[in-house]
Parts: sequence; C-alpha cells; structure tokens
Amino acid sequence: MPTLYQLLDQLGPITRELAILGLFVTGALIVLVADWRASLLALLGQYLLVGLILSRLVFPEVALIKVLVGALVCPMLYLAARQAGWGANQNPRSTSAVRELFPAGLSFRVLAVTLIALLTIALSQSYPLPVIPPDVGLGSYWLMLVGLLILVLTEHPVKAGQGLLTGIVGFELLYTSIERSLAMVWMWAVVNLLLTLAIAYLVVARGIDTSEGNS
Amino acid sequence: MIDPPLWLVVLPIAAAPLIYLVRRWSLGALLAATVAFLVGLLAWSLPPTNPIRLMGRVFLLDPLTQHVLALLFFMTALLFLIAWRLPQGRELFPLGLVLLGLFAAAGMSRHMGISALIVTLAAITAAPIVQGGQTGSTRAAWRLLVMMLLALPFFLLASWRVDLYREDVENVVYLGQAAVFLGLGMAIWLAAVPLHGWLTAVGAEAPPLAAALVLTGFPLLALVALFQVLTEGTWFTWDAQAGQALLVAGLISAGMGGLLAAVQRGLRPLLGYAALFDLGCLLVALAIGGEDGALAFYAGLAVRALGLVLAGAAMAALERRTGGDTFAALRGAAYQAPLATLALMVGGFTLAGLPLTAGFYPRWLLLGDLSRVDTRWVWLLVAGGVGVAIGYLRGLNAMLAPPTRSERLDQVRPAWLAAILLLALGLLSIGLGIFPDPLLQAAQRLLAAYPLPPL
Repeated sequence: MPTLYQLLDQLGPITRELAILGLFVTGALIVLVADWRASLLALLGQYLLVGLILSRLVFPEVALIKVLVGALVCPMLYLAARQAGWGANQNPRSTSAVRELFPAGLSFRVLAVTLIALLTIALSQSYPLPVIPPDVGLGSYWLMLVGLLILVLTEHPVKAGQGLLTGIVGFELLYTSIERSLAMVWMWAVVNLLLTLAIAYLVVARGIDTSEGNS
Repeated sequence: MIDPPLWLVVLPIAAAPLIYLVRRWSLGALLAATVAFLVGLLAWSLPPTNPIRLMGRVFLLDPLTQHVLALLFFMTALLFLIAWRLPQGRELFPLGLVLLGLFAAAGMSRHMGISALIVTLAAITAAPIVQGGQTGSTRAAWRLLVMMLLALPFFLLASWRVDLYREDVENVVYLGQAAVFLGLGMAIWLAAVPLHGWLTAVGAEAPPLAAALVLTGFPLLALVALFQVLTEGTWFTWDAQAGQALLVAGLISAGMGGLLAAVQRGLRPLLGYAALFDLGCLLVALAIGGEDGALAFYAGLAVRALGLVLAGAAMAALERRTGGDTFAALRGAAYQAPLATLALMVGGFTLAGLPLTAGFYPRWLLLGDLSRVDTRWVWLLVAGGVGVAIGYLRGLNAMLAPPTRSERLDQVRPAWLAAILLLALGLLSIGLGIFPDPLLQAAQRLLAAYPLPPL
C-alpha cells in the first residue's frame, strides 16, 4: 500500500495552478448544476483539490485531515437528503412551493458566477491575501465569494449547506497557512463535522414538501 | 484536578448524555433544571480565581462573566421547569445544557479566536433547539448558523493580527486591521441592524422558550466578550471610535426594533423585534457610560433575561391553548388563559421599559444620561419603547376580542407549575418596577467589581 508521500508524488503532475482551476470549476458547478447529487460530487472534488493544494503548503498530514473531513461531510449530506426524501427523479424546479430568495434562472446564475469570478480576480490583485501564494489566495477568495453567492441564492439547507461549507473551506485555505497548530486543525475538523450534522438535521426537518434544493 | 471554574463547563456537558436518555419523561426536565440550577449556584458562589492555562490558552472567570453565567444558568433552570409541561422540542433539555457549558467556556476564554470557535460550536448546538422539532421552514436555525459562521473568520483574523503584535511590537501596524475585523464580527454577534436577521428570525420561528434562551444567551455572551476586549485588551486603543459605533448601532437597532415591533401580526415576531429594541438600548447604555449609564447597563442585563423569559413562557402557555401565535389565532385567548395573557403583557412591557415593570428604572437612568448627550436620541428610544408597547397592546386587543363560534379554543390541562412560575416572575417584574433598589444595588456591586470601559 502506498504511503501518503508516495501518493502525493503520484499526484505530482497535477500542478497547484491546475488544482486552483479545478476549484473554479467545482465552485461554478455547485452554483449552476440542478442535480443535488452532482453538486455534492463537486463539493467532494473541492475538498480533494483543497487537500492537494494544502499538501504543498503545510504538512501533508494536515491536508489529509481536510480531505478526510470532506470525505465524511459529503456522505452525511447525501444520507440526510435521501432521508428527507430526495430521490433520483427529484427535479426541484418542478416543485410548486419554490422558496427562493430570488427567482433565479440559469442565465442569471451564469452571469452571477461570471461577476463573482471577475470580483475574485480584482480582489486578489487589489488586496492579495497574506501568508499564502497569490494563486492560492485567488482560490481562497473564489471559494469564499462563491460560497456567499450560494447563500444569497437559496436558504434550502441541501444547497445552501454546500455553499456554507464551500465558503468555510475557502477560508480554511487561508487560515491553515496562518495557524498551523494541530489543536486548531482538529478544532476546525470538529466544527466542520458538527456543522454538517446540523445541516443534515435541518435538511431532514425541511423535508421535501417545500424544498427547492437547487435554487 | 479540575480547576473550580472549569466545572461550569464540564458539569452541564457531562450531564447532557444522561438527560438525553430521559428527555421524554418528566425526569428529564427536572434533572436538567436541577443541573442548571446547581451549576448556577456554583457560578454565583465561586471566589475570585487565578487565570487557568489550558492547551496554551488563558481562561479566566472574571466577576462580570461569573454573574452573567449565573444569570444564564438560573434563567435556563426556570425555562426547563416551564418547558416540563409546555413542550418545546425534545432537544431543549440535553442540548440546552451543552449550550450553557459552551457559553461558560466562551465567556472564560481570553483568546478571541478560541472564543469565536466555541461560540460557533454553540450556534451549531443551538440549531436543533431553535428548530425545536418543527418541520417545514428552517429559516431561524439556518440564519443563526450562517451568521455565526460568517462572524468566525473576522474573529480569527483579528486574533491572528493581535497575536502577531504580541510576538513583535513592530507589528503594531496590523492592529488597525484587527480592530476592523473585531468590529465586523461583533456587529454580527450583537445583531446590529442590518445584521439583525438571525435575531428576529429566531424570535419569529423558534419555540418561545428556546427563543428566550437563544435571544438572551448569545447577545449577553457577545457583550461579555466585547467588555473583555475593551477593558483588558491593551492593544485596543480605539475607544472613542468604538463608543461612537456602539451608539449609532444601538440607536438604529432600538429605533428599528421598536418601529417594526409595532406593526407585527404575531407574538413570535413581536418577541424578536422587542429583543432587538432592548439590545439596542443596552448598546446605547454601554456607549454613553457614565454612572447612570453603567448602572442601566448592568441592571439591563438582568431585566432583559427576566423580560424574555416572562414573555417567552407566557407565549408558550398561550400557544398551547390556541395552537398559534398570530393575533388572528389568539382571539379570545385572554378569557381562556388570563394569567398567561397578563404575564405576556408584563413581559412585553418589561422589554419596552414601561413604568411599573422592572425595565422602567434602568431605562429611566439611561434616558437621563442620554439627554445630556443629545435630546433627540432620547425621543428615539422613547418612541422605540412605545412601538414595542403598541405591539403588545395590539396583541392584547386581539386576545380580548370575543372568540367566534368557529374559533373554539382547545380545552387543555392547565400547567400548574408553569402558571406558578409565570405568576412569580410577573410579580418579580412589577416588584422591581416599584422597588428597584435591590436591582440597582446588585448592579452597583457588579459595577464596583468590574467597571464599565471608558468609551
């Protein structure tokens, strides 16, 4: 069985820039994709990419904890959504009780994602984040802003929960480089897991009847 | 050996699993109330202690934190007893105790980042309490979660900048950023308008007793954390600016809370806006300081807890009778539940600061101090108080209306313990309104032990 370091060596061809590009893709997917399972997969990919980026900035073990947290978070959300009745044929756009903050269509979402991408670039150039390399700062800004965008677009825990976790992982990208103590790493892991539990509870409480999960 | 102050954290959290197992029976409520009461007594009676080091971080139980925690523990014990016969969701008892333990840990922590992480954990714990087993809308729990998590990065960044300064004084240039981050985080914690969404949503959707716990606990803890920074943080040198910001935030929150309270159509949203108005008044009292302002602030902390518990408990009793909290659903409720109606009015008027209630004298002191600064602001606070009172009077008007034939009120078994506690709390509020000396003496003692920061 390969060790963690051997595994990272094998992932060598995936450069940091490529991983950050991947973050842009996964973040945009969570906003744009209608299928809740696809956006959960994008969230899982996001955790993997963040772990990969962090493995080159801090101890690989710390990055591994982040990946493991992501690997636990996504199944928890999946199980909660299934428990609430979300199924394979669930098409939230056809549900009658649409509880959106804004009735937003795909074109609006594409426009919003584009604007957030532009804002990300502008912010990372005008106010570069300290401690981390500029490209990682770009990824961190992107995740935080796209997380906020999702929170603005919907309050349904299935989708908004992914937005909240996206924003948090974006901040962790910055904060893990600032505060490297193992106690803080574990504290973040606990916060993430308990937060997901709370989101899962709310997903079940909200249920399917009034849901608009991919709004 | 566990240091005595740490028992305030350990005991409630350790009792929670046991309470969880018996939460469906009466024993659960009684045990939870007993634990909360005993830990409250412990918090009240602990002698001054030295700072404790835990994982390299400092924890200290100062007099203000000690009294605020004791108030929260006693208040929660009462809420648990009232919730015994007025069910508010099965999670209230075990998670309420965990919440209290986390409040104690956050209050004692002297590291902003650690405090913020613990408060975030408290918000996560509070989410099921706020939801209270209700299905459908999750707006209140969700907003509480989101807003507390949005505040977290600001506190972590602020504490990082302060830590950098402590390591090397040449990093003094970062302290301005730290102050800005701290201000943004505090604005969310203190629900300053326009970041008040979590506070009013909790009032509008959470079960009333759970709302009373959250609307008291989180803002009180935020005020304690703010106090600690202002009085103990040698790095913080923007006292005048902080005073201005608190004054503006307080006036806007109080004005907005009072205005919107007057136009609500249900008791739950009314409670949220009344809580916002009261919090605004506390911020104003903190900002203007002075002898009377300081007394008004410290007395106001206890009055807030009393008003919210009374109004929340009365609402829970009324909802049990009528099955709803909207004014339309409450028609005729005053004839079915006269004691709960009376308690609701006293609780609401306490939050509004009307005469003959415990809220009046502290508010009077505040208005006197404020009039020396600007008389227009006095009128703003008075108008806000009138707005809250109008909101509750509109509720009373609906409850006094004769019920129509189709609006048959449920015949439910009376909850005697809740009724006795409502009566006792109502009389306490009126008693403190007529004889405010005990309240002011307690505030004076606290003021001597922990003076208000000069702003």
